[in-house]
Amino acid sequence: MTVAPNYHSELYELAGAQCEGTMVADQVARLEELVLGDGRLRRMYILYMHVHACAERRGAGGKGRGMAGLPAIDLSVSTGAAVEHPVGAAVELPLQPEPRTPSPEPPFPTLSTTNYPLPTPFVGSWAFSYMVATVIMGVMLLVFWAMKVTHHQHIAEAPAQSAPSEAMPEMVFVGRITGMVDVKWSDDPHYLPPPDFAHVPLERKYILSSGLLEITYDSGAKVILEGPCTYEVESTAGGYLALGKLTAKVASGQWPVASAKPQAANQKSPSSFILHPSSLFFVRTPTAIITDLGTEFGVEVNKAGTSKTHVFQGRVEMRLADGGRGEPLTIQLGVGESGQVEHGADGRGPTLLRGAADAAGFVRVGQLAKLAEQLHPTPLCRWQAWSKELRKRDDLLAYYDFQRDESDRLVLRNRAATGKQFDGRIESPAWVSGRFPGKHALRFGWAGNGVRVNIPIECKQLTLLAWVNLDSLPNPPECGGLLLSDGWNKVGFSRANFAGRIHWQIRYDGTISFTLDNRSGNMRSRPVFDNAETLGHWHHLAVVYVYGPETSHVVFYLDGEHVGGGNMIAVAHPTVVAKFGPAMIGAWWDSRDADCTCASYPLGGRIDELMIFRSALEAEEIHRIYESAKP
Amino acid sequence: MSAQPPSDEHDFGRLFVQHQSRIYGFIRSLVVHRADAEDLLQETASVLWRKFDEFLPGSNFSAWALQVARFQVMYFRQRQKRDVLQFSDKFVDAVGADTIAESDRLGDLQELLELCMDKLPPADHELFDLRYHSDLSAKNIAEQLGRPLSTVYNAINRIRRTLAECVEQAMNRADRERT
Repeated sequence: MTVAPNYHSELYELAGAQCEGTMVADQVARLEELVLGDGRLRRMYILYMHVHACAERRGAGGKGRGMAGLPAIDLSVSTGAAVEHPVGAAVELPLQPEPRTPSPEPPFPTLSTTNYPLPTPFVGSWAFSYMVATVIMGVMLLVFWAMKVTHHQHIAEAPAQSAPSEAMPEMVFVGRITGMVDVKWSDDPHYLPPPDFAHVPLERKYILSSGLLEITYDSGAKVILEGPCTYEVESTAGGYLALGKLTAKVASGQWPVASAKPQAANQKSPSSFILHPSSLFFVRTPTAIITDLGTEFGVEVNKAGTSKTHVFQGRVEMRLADGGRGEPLTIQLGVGESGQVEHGADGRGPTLLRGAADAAGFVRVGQLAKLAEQLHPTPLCRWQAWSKELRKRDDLLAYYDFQRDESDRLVLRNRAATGKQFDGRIESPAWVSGRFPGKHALRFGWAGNGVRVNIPIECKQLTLLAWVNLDSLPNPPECGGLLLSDGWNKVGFSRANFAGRIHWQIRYDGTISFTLDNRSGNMRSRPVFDNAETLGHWHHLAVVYVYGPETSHVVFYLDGEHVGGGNMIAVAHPTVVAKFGPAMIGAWWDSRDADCTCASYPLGGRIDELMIFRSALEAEEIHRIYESAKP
Repeated sequence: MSAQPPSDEHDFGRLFVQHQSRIYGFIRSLVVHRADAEDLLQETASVLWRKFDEFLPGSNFSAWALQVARFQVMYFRQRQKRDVLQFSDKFVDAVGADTIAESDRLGDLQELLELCMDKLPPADHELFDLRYHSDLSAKNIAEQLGRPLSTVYNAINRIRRTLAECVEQAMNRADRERT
């Protein structure tokens, strides 16, 4: 077999495939050929695989593995596959254990009358004395032996010098990535970007094509890089901006940190740094070193290496590259000032131009989160903006956003313009999370739990909408209350007329029901909660009611889609308009019963928004409302 | 005073932990698949424990353990089906013998590896951490960083090679200092 001269790379590539678990038969064959054909390659392969094995062992410690990274070794388990080779088999042990010597006899005779028949008289004889002395000597020897064992055991427990440390080799971290907005890293395929929100190590380079990246140093200093930008972390208190823009903020009174002695400003790339007792944050560029004096400032560097510093707060010191001649020029810039430094032409030193700061041209520290919110609003933010607009509607009778009022957790606020008069009173409140992060909801489901409202309004046209997440359907023949007026079909103990009072609920058969009390009309949707998949998810329910002197009309919606409805047949005549009065959300109060002590018909689930319009919304608008606020 | 015979799990555990990276590295270099290497380590540990009363303290635990591991590997290979990817007997013999011969030298590998990792540039160190500390595959890393798989794969290989060469140089230096 002929081995090609340049085999190292090929060997490493094949071994790499073995490490990554991607080897195929041809690769196995080729690896064997290389390894068997050359002793040097064989040793390289062995070392490479040992490095890989070592790294595997060190890296995965703690993930259900024993012995720091390797599978837990259960010494009590026999896998059945482990083979013990019989004594005498061809096992070459380099250092065979020496044949064991029999344990020495104990150094003193045993005190047994069976072994030492006692002469008479024994006690007091020379034999007895000899025996006692021997026993004493033996005990002393035993004590010394035990001490020696203890000593050896102590040594045995001490870790060997070459015992591996569990700690990872120490990198010096100076901060973390604390903000990212639309970051696009360099296109260079050989540039490996950091993981999101990683710790920031010394000498790490950040090359952004676009977007914003915020680094917070451990000292508290914050830097926002704006792509396109190349920035390298030079020390615990600064870095090198080769190209692009950054904003830095270092609050005054920050505790001092050891920082690198800044390299010469005209050095294109940082070399190894020296710890320097300076305590000030700095940014180095191709033409200047900007040292913070307790401030916020921006720096930009163009491709020609021209640096411009803008001071937004406080002061900075700007030191120019001296071109090797004399002491470098140092100036201080104050609030609203800028300093631009260009490379000197024709061998001359750099030039400085003072001007006004351009604060609007930089993303300021503290603006990143807001910017991220504007560019990528969270569902909660989007909903809040939409909710704010909704409240302005004239036809909105009541709007419960189910956001917990921290000043009174027993109140369910009405956010419509109709105001506090329609606030609800929560009984046995259970505030829970709603349909997206930051959204609140109320959980219903047990006797006595619900929200009391009183809306003494009659409507010829009505739209009810709610976001509901059901855990379960009620048991037959019951219903789970969405919005139910008190009492039912009777004058009631207060002798009030209940005719036309609204009952909007979910029935045990998975249909949605809209009923007007006192035989004034009853309508159901088709079954919509008819399988387990509909439970445990947020759904948007809506019902539209339009009064008619002969027949009224009702339409049901689920998630913006029509799911049933039609003409509502009234048993009693004349037909009545819909009305509310005292009612409950999430339950029903049976006011027929003077002895009734708590609400019933609990809804088995959560509600996180409920709206009452005194108009009949069109299907398109209901669909739009659903789309605008869906999770 | 002659050495006391080892008699308990503590002694075995201490010795095994001290040499396990070598044993695992040995096994890993002889089998294609990581899962097989892990199974074999378990089997080897089982046999070593059962035969531990035959081991004389002060003798070469590593060499003894590697021999046991070698036979476990060979037995494992006999049990494998024909179509399973594995190295040949000749390969196992040759690599096994060389590894045992080098076992003392490889004993310092853990410490030298840590020193060499200190010298890695930060980006390489981060990538190495992702691969080994987070135990992500090259594919997962490529997805996470938004980079081509080949780039990540080649970078990890390059880092391993750099570390292996660094460790070798350090071992050679140590050899020169000893002579």
